Amino acid sequence: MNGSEDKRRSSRIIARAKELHEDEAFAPARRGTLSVSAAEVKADVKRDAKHTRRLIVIFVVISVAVALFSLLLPYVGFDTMGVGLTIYPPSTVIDAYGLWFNMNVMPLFDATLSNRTGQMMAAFVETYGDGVYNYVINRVVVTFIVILCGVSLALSGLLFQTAFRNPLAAPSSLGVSDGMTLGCLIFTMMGFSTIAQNPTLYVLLTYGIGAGSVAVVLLVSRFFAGGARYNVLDMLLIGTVVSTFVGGVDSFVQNFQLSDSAWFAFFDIQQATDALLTPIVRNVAMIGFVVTFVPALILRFRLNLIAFPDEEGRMLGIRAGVLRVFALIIGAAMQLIAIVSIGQVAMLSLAVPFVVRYALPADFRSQFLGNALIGCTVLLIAVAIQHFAVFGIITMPVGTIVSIFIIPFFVWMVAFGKGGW
Amino acid sequence: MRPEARRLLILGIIVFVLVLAAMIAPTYIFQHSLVEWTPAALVGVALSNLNDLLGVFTGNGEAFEARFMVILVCAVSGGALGLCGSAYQGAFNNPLAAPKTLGVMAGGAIGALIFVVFLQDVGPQMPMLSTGSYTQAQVNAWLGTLNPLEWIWANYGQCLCSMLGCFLAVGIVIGITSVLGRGKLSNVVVIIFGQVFATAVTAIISFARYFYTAEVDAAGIDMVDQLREIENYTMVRDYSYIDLLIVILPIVICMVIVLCMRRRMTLLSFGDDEAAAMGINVNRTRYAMIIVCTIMVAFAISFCGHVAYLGFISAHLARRIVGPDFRYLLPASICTGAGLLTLIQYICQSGLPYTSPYSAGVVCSIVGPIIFLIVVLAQRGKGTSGEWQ
Repeated sequence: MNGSEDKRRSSRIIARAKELHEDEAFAPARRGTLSVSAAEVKADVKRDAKHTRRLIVIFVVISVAVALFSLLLPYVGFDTMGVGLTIYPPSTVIDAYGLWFNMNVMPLFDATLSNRTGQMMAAFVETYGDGVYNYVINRVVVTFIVILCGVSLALSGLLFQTAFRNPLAAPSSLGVSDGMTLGCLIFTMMGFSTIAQNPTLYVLLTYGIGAGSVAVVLLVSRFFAGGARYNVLDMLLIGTVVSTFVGGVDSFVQNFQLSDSAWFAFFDIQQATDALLTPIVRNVAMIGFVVTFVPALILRFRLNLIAFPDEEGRMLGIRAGVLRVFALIIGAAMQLIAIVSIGQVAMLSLAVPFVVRYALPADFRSQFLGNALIGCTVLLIAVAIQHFAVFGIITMPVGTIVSIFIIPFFVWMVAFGKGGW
Repeated sequence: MRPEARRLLILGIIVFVLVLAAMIAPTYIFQHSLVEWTPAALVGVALSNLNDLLGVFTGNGEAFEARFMVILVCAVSGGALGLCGSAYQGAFNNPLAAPKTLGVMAGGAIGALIFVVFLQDVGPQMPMLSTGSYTQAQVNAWLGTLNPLEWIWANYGQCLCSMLGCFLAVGIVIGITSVLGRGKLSNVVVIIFGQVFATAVTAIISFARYFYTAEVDAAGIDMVDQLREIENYTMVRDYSYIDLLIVILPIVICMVIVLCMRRRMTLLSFGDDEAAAMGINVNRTRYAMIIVCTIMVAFAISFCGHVAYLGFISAHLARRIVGPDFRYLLPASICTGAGLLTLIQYICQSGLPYTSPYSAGVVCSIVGPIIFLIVVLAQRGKGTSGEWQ
């Protein structure tokens, strides 16, 4: 009986829908007043595309300019005695790049030059002093990895905000940054005071515990959902709860177990102030970047789909669930790589995707490009500022600088952007 | 009686008994070095505590007043945080919203930071004694020599700064976002900007601690301890009856106002457009909710301290227990918040290793998730989201 009633109701609904549809289809006069002509729509789309292209060109120019600036102006922040700032003028820096070019590239064309590298080096040292060359060349590598980290951070934020459709879903909500902090705490409690003392252990602990907490979140949310599929909101809640727990353990250890001097060392390690000076951190970051960025790049066309809600996606025949979990894991891994290399810069992955949403259309591909560009630009500027932010024997960590200086940028972008959530 | 109402009633009774039990249960039960705790001794102490508690109401329970007041303040503050969590989750229609979302916690912390770093040395200072430390009687004698204004500053300086910080922070967040939204209060922008603000303040406080740890001198060490307290500890202290009045009266008034708005909250949780279609002024309701909740939380965290995540967890617990109807959800989240913070404060007082009566903030972020997971486990298979779409 129930079934027949359902059938009757559904046939009524279908009839009503047909009526409405016909109404719409056969009332061109009324429709004409509301809609715009096809030509106008086409022109609109064309204008928007042009605007987007122009914006992306501007973003590219800005980020290239910032990258060049940060390559040309290396500052020695402070030396260990806290004497103060040493600034190398651009001419010194350009000479150092010239020396690198002469020592590494020119010998490929002229084999006789390779015998003279020692002389060239000696001449450079005589003019500018010891250690300058190494510092400048080191700086190039560091800049390169900072660019990678900026791209990773912004993209991970974009992936999370798209997958969860919730502005409060930061990549740290799967417990990545609390796990990394726990790794740093264990590293400190094993008696190390800088990363340089045992970089391998640092890398193992931070990556291991960070990845471990994400695995715990995925397992627990799957367990509690009770079924075969992941519910995104469940995952978010469990992630928040797990990261709260790990964060609680962190602050417990920080406040009850560490002396002031140990806490100082811990903060240094957590903000990764000298992580990029060790080769292993750099290498792992580069490998990790390739492993996470390439799949995201390949799948960027499909990632538009994860924005669909579950039901609608299923109706359209999309299995968004698998893709979404994949996006989350990639995003968490990107975040982990970045925070292990340059410290807790969670703010970047919170604010940049949001800001880019105001500047560029909602299409995932242009969002992808815009986020990558703005992310690396912001991080490069922060690292450049860091070289001036010297207080006595300490420098301000990159994370603090990003947190403070992104607020005006954020307000400006939201005030004058035309898009929206 | 509807099932929600029945569950709410049971929850209320449980929390009331819990608060009462936390008041009379013996403290430091895990430290055998003090007393040999046999079951008989435990019951005996509890009974004598009950006698003292009754003495408070008849005016001769001085020995017991301190613990009575600490538990009472914790219960009321926890209730305020839980209510605020539920109210924000409804007002912003976002399951991840928490009292800290709009930057009120961050504002309180930065206010306290400014007091500790810049304003502490302003105003009357207690003269240095040869013994180096003060007894309570000496402090009271010194306070008696001050004029009223100085007395307020000496007693409540940090609370005032913290409260001012709360109001300023929420003012800045709301002001900027409503200017950006041309008078409309956009959900997403408020949340994101509040989050950005809170992250920035957390970074600044950590950096201040780092900075003062580097400058180690006598004053520096003192300041480092205070900064650490701001970051992680509750500011539970010896309350007086005046403190009790200052904390509880405004919070209870704000609670009543929020509870009066419960029907509007239910409608607001359908989303902005639907709520407007049902005849609610969405912006005005949301502004009112934010202002009242800010006042409530400002009092709670200025006098009781930062108990991070309590609002978030107790709101979700309440939703799990009584369901999504705000008529029952709001009182239930008061109950869960009060119960949780009382329980945690008692755990801190019970003499477990590594805890102290001032560590409720840290213990909350360890115990809270465990309780949450247990409740979720009890409802396994229904999903964890509890009626959120």
